[in-house]
Amino acid sequence: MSSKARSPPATSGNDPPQNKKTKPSSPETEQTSISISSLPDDLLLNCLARVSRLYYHILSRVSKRFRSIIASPELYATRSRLNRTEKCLYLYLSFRRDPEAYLFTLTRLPSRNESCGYSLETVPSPKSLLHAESSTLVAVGSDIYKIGGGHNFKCKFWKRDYSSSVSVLDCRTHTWRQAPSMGVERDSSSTATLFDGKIYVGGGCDEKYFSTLKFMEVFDLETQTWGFGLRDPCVFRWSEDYRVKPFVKSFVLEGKLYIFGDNGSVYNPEDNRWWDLGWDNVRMSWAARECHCVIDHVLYCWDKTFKWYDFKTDILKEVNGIEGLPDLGEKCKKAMVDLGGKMGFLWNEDLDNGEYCRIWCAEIRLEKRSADEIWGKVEWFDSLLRTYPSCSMLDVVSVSV
Amino acid sequence: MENEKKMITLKSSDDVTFEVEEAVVLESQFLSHLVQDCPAPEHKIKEVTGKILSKVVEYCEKHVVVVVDGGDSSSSSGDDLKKWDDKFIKEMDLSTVYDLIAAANYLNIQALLDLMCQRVADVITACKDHKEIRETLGIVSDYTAEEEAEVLKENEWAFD
Repeated sequence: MSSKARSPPATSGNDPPQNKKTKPSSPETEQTSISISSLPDDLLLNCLARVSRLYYHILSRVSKRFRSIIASPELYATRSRLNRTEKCLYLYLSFRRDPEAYLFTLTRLPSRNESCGYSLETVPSPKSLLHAESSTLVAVGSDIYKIGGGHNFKCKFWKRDYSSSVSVLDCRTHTWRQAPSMGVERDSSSTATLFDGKIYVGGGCDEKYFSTLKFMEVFDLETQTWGFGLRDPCVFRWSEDYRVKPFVKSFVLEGKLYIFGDNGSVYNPEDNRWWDLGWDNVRMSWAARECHCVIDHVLYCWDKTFKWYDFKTDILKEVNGIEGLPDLGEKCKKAMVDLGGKMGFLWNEDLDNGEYCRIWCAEIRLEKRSADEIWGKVEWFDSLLRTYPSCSMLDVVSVSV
Repeated sequence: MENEKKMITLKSSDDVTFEVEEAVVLESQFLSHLVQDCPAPEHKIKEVTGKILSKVVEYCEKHVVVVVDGGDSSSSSGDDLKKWDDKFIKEMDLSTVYDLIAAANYLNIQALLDLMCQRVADVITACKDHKEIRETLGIVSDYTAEEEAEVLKENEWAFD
């Protein structure tokens, strides 16, 4: 294969004419004669859409044009078209004696090296949302649904303040909108899971609703409506006097929705009913009580170390090979999340006798080597934030942007 | 065999001509249509200079899908092609990259457009801050000093 280039004035094909007005110099030292600014918006968009979202806050600082492209809805359409959608981590924090809860997104600092330089940036929230602290969060595509909430510490514990309001953060533009309110008021001890195009919210409500149809309600994303409709999963027995925190947890595993309170229940969409788990899958309910998440159809949890739940044998097995993380105290709060097949793991550390607190994050690559062996490798871990001590809640979700 | 291959001449905006096989031209959607609709032996491409067209031709010749009997060695394997692409980009200054983005977009050569846009994204990612991005890409900031100070503080977590 060959091509022959001929140019009319005394230049050869190998040495095409310098028609641009550039100073003759080697490519290494040459000042760029045309800048990226000469590209039309759609082509600049094509370039910026390929940059990881972790750097978007830096891109916004470059120029007004960059800023407007970063803020444009076309950017995310282009990322999706180019298959560049990423899982992006959002952290939800609250502190004792502070009525507000804060939402952050993971970014990378300008000066960084291979394994560190991660940081958090706050997500601006309108004042009207701040009163409802300690909500339950659930990610739906590029949105975060902030469900219910209550000021646990402000009111007397026997008269907690609940909310039925639901707001939605569009993580592409960081704009909030209001969604229809729930039928029942709930606080952050509720659980919310996306399953089959619907958000299932359970618990967190006044105990008079326990063991009633109002215990759980379902938001249909397509019709944007709430409904009760389901049978009660019966995860709380009648009048448990010793129950301190009626926390509920839920997740989807193997195409079924699991919910855990005092006991566990599984919802099978095929027969549209809840089944009591009884003594089956008892270790799954242990995992549900710990910090946990589901990644690629595997349930992981923290139980003094990283573990995964083997469905076949009902055993929590250790994830092999995770090394290099600092010792995590029993007292620190922990959270884990699916970062597109990898695990995002966060914890807090109180320092200087409780003078301040650090929020840490690790990203862990996971590999299933055989039916009963999973290995993990810490890709990086870093201190993301220096903040107030007494972190009372640390919650994390990941959205697709 | 060589003689049976149809050759086409491309002429740049500054009248540099390139004689290429038809298969090479077919890498570009724009040129494929042009050649089909207008079977002239020579095609002038007014929007692309000789310097850039030579790069386009070089890329397309390397990437052309070669159908040969018995798997001739002239067809490049995926790994080789990737290595070649890496070298192709690394030897190029950014101003050529921008020109090639515009040319690949105009000529509708998706793979070349992807390669060049990715190059810009990689260059941006390697910069340590917004100032280095400006310097590297030749961008003059249009923020006033006050605006810039505000943008820098934006969404920062105030603690201490």
